[in-house]
Amino acid sequence: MKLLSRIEEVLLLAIWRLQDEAYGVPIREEVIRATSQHWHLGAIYGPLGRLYKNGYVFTVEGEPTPERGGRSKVFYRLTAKGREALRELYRVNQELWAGISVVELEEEP
Amino acid sequence: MSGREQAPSRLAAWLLGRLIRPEIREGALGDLEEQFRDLAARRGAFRAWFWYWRQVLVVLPGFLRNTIPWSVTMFLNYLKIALRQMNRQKFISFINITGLALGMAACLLIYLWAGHELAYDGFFPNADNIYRVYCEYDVPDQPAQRYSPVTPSAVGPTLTRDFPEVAAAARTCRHYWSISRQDHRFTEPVCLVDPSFFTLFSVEFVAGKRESAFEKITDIVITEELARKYFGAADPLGQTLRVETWYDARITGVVRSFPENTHFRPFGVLIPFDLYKPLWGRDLNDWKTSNYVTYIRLADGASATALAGKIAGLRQPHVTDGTVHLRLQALTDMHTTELGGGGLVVYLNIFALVGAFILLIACVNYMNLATARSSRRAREVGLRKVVGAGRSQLARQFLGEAFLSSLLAAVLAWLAAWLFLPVFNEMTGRELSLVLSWWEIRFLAGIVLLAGLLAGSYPALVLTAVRPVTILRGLTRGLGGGQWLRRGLVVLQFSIAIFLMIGVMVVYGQLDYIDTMDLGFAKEHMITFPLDNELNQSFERFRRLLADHDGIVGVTRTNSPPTYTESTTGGGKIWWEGKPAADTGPSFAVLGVDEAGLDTLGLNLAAGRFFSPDCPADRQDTVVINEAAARAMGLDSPVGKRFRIWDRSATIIGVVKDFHLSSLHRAIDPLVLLPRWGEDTVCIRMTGRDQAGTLAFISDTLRQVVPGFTLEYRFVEHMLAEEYLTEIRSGTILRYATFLAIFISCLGLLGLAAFTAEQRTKEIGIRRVLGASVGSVVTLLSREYFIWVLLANLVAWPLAWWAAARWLESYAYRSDLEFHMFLTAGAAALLIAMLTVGGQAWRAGRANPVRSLRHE
Repeated sequence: MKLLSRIEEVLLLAIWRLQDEAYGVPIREEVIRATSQHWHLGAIYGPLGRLYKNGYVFTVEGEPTPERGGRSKVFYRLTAKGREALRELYRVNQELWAGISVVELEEEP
Repeated sequence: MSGREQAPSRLAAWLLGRLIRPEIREGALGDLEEQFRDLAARRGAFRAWFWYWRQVLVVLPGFLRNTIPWSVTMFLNYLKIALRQMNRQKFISFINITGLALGMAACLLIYLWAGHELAYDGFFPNADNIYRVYCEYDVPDQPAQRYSPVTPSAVGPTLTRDFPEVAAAARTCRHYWSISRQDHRFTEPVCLVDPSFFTLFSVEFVAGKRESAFEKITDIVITEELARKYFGAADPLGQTLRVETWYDARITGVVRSFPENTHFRPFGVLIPFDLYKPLWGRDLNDWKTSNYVTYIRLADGASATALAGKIAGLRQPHVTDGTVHLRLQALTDMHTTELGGGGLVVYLNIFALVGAFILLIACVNYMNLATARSSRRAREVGLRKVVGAGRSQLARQFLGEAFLSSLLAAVLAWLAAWLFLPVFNEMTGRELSLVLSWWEIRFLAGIVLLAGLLAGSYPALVLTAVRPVTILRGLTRGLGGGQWLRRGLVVLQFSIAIFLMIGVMVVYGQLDYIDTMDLGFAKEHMITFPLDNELNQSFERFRRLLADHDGIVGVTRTNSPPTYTESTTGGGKIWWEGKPAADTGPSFAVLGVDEAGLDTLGLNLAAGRFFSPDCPADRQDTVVINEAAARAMGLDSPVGKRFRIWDRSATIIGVVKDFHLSSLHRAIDPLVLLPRWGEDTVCIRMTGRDQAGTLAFISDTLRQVVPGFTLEYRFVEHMLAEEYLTEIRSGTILRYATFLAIFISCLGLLGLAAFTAEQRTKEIGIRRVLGASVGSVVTLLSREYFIWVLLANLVAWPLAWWAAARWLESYAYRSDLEFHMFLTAGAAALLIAMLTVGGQAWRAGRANPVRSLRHE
């Protein structure tokens, strides 16, 4: 299976974590919280679009609300392929970090 | 405002929509809007707006995000190079930008003025649907008399009744009547109008109601200015004003005057048209006498051309043959186009062309200097190409430089136009203003684009085509191709300048001709003023009182000022002893005049006698004609012949020599002088000695005869000058335009000469060392320019001759085209060009050869 890019990984995790609340605004907030970096709202749609196109996520439309200019909230959910991809990533990460101690990383060489 | 603050910019939303994958677009836009509102509520609308736009950038795909900063960098580099170029060659940049700026300023002012003239009457709601009905007469051999703006009174009612295309019609007629309130008494411009006039022209009522304005025949409507003049701050509604000595009129409405840019001459009082019936017993549904200006408004969707076709043959029940055709003229054309063609519109076209010419000359300067300098820039082009610049990139750079120059020039042009505007207003007699309006910005932007494209196209196309190898080897000679273009352009510039110079001389020659021409009557020291009824009653007393004063030559009454008469008989309305056919034949102009007319107007008798106060019979059944009329009738000795005009039988008692009643555009019409007919004007000729004293005397005498009369006179000479106002104003503008054209051409020549001299510094140095004199160097450098300007003469002369001859054709009386005008213009251009070039050449020749040989 093709590995996802880092931002795609972060987004998928954010969507999984948010479950029923996963639409654009909270997704971005979750990404910012987890990475402690500033993310523009506009910047998430590029990778999100790629995830959708490649079948990792699907969308569910909510009710239209006035504060959104009459547009519906669009919630993202993971597809089976998305969940599979996350499992795969977890395995790869485990593998990559296996036996590495953070304490040693912090020591001056 | 709140609506706008609530929603993000639609353009930005649209852009975002383009950039986000369509499957998730709706949701994404919703998210962004939600954030936008949140931000707007917390940090303000502007921050939110800015944030939203920022998102557009963020969504941009990476490669684009990379390109934009680089384009900006490149652009800044171009800008830097362009500014360095300007800085390095200050003189040439100065010439370029000044020339362009002057050209643009001239263009801007000319088009501003032309736009103002073309917009006349355009402010009326429905202006496109309003037409004036006028008459075209079938009069053989008298093209000048064919058109008349006045129509019979039956035209208006007939058109509304019989043609569904005509939504409304209004008849109007003007008079000068005395209007008085207690001891205030002035002669006011009065307009008799149908009630439909108010809706047709959307007259704005300040007080009173439009619908009930003319309920009674004695009701009148006045303008705000008039209300102030007679009533001050008091409410004029319901008050009365006395019209002449006839009746007391009740004011039922106060209206706003029309703005200045309308063909309507100002009016103070509006009176119901139906008043003619009780007042003078006129038939208001009559086909015989043309006296009234009729306006119509078309129904929505009706076609003017179709209607014009239908009414052209509208027959007058009283006329057996169709000698009159009704025609339509659009309201918006009335100011610029005279009946039958011609008028201001001709000058507007000329000036549109002149403006374009001046701009062209300025662009040519830029082009010329750019090609001349091309060898210098060639090395830069070569280097840029070597490091990878494409041709289109280089073309963009050169075009960009041209645009930068023209942009700078546009800013300067607007400032220059703004500074010059008061002078220009004086020349045109208008109140134009520059307010940096949307129109001006668009116009200047258009000029910037045009000038930039014109000026930058040559370097962009030619300079970028060179092969870098050739240049970098140092072979810049191969770039000489521009030389022919350069020569051609200089010839073009000077052709235009010489053409304009000849034009100015021809216009001034004709104006001078008009000014000094013997009109056949004494226009000097003559004043006219409107005659009112009360003065007419006691006119003999007035005349007797004035006769004793030695500053006064004569006093007479006429039906119109002697500068024009709109009254004509119409075709086929006259008969004379020996006339071949009954109902056809020429139309005669008619001038009503009293017995003192001959001496007062300074006319000359050719045969017979003039009306005499000693013959009471002269009041009724005599006429005097002019020589043109005698010729038109084919009579060798007309005196004593029977004559009939309309229903009036008479005997011809005399013939006066021809004199000019109308402008010199028209040939002298056959004219009938009728004794004491339709008189509403007083003409007084003075000797010119102690004019102020004489005028005061006339004013005092008037008050003595008619208490309260205010003398508001005009000099006939001034009125004549007004007839040629268009010509005079055009002449002035043309003179400035020509000066500018020459100046800008010379600026270009100056730059070119300076450049050539600089390029040939070494050659000149060697020549000087080998013994050449300063004079021979000057000859060497200026010879070619001499030939170019000479060539320009050859191009300009035939064109100028053709154009001038066509312009002069519009005058029945015109000055000759003199060859010396052409020669003067050519010589002047040559002289100016030689002074410009010679100065530069002389400086180059005088330079120390040692220093120039050390050059480079």
